[in-house]
Amino acid sequence: MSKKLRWFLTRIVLLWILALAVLSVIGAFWGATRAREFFNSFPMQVFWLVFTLLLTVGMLAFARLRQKVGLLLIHAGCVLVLVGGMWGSDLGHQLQKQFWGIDKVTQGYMVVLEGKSADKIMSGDIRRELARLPFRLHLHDFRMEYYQERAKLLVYHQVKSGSQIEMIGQIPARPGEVLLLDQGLPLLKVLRQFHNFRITMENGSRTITDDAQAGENPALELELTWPDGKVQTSYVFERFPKFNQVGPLHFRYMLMPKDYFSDLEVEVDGAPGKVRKMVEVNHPLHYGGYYFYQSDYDHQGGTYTVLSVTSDTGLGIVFGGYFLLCLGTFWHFWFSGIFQSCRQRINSD
Amino acid sequence: MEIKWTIQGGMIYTALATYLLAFLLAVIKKPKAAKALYIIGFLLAVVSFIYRWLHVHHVPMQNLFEVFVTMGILIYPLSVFSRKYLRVGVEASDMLLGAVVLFPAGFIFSAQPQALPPALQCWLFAPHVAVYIISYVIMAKAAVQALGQLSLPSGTRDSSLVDYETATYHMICLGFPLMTLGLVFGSWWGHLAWGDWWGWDPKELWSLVTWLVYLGYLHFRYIYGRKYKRINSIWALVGIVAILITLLWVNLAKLFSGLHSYAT
Repeated sequence: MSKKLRWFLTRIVLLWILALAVLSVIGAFWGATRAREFFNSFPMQVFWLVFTLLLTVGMLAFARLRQKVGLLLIHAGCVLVLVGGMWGSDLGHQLQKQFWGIDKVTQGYMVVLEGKSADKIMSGDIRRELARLPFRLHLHDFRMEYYQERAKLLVYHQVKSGSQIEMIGQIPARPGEVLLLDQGLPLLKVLRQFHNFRITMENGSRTITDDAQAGENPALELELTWPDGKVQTSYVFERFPKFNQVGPLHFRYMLMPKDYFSDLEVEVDGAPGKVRKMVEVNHPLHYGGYYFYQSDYDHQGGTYTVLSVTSDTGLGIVFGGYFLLCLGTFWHFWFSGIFQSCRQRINSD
Repeated sequence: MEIKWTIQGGMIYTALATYLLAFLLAVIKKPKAAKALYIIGFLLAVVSFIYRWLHVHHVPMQNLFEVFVTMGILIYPLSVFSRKYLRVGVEASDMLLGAVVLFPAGFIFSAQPQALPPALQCWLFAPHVAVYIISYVIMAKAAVQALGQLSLPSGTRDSSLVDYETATYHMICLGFPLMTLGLVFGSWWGHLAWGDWWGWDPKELWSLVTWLVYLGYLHFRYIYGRKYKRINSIWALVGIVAILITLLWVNLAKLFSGLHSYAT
């Protein structure tokens, strides 16, 4: 290949790197949603394609890129990341549907009720059905774990009806904790902490229990001792803040989530037992060409889970590219020099 | 400005003051005393790091306070390594760098311990953040060398050391693979936690910009060699500005709210 073409190629690659850096800065100001739309738009698909071609032609044009293992791995790695990214993009999915009949959704969401199965992939607002899976996901159980030592009870005061409420104190939400408030307000004491608060009526009398059965309803039992000596028991709920008011006092029971768990099982043709996995944050389920991630949950009753669904198309190519890229950079910048100097030392000895 | 009247704060201030004193002694040509203080400063920074680790019960790299505490322990090993294996010197500036990175931990960022949110409870948390922190410290040293190339006359250096421009290149070659690994770890983690190997989040985009700046530097230097030494150095300085934006601005400015906002 002519020297002139190589000269042109190096400058155009440099220009492409600079262009991508500038576009990334602009994208950072736009925020993730708009940036995603922009970088997946048709003109940008052309940009990615040209970038991939430039790198491929560069590897063919420059003998150095083929002879130096590290440089070859770096550039081949970048090509694979770009190819994998394009293959797994919306446009890539559309092309695969058109030419090979592979009908997959790039991204979506699923809502699965506890004890039920679902196969519908929905849009982000959970209103529009995007596709149906060739299998169903059954939710055995959804549960949350909290940092118990970080649970807090926040106390707010509203001087008169309609006025703003202001926070007047907070205590760890542990049985035995006491909070002394200003004059005219009660002394607060945390009596019990419930994981799953339940009220049952038997023979006309009310029984309050911490139900060990499925479900969650975190709550606190408080004792309020008013200045006139009146003692009152009240309950504060983590998920039902509108019930957390006693006279001028408003309460907030705050729990810090440690993790979310969805016990999921794949059903094919109505038969369970194919795959069962406890899906949690950082531990998705991979089945049938999709990844299923713990995304959201029923904030009030804890009766359903929301999973985000992502197609795995192109992912293997991207991570293969990443592997080559890392191997190449470390080989080229670190290890080849070390081996070279070792070889020189051995030769000089 | 937040002064920390705690044991942790005391350790950070002592390490910071020791690094500063070491720098002053190096400037007034008392190399032995400066080196001794530099080692003491490093040991104090290590103790502060371990103390924090024990206090929060996880690798102390969750927020900016912990990131800067971690940076404080990396300067001395980097100084020793770069002089011995890369022939890159100017330890005095490293001593100052040690004080500079501990300053935000001591006076700016809150030391309030935080529990790890679910997304951070991943084995990739420590390697992803650690390789980035190490690469950032290396690139900071590269920027100091680049500043030396731009502002100091050549030919005034120890003959056992390489010139400033070459030193900048050596440091960038050392830091770039780690930065690449940090980016890849981040992408892998994004795939595990958010279902996206690339989410176009502002922090992700700024870290890509940073990587591209150094990629551009390496290509520019390959094309033009040492013909435009000053441009090479300016390029390295643009890199450190990009790092500062990625590290600080993205976390601090409301302008770039995104998935990484917990790391403030």
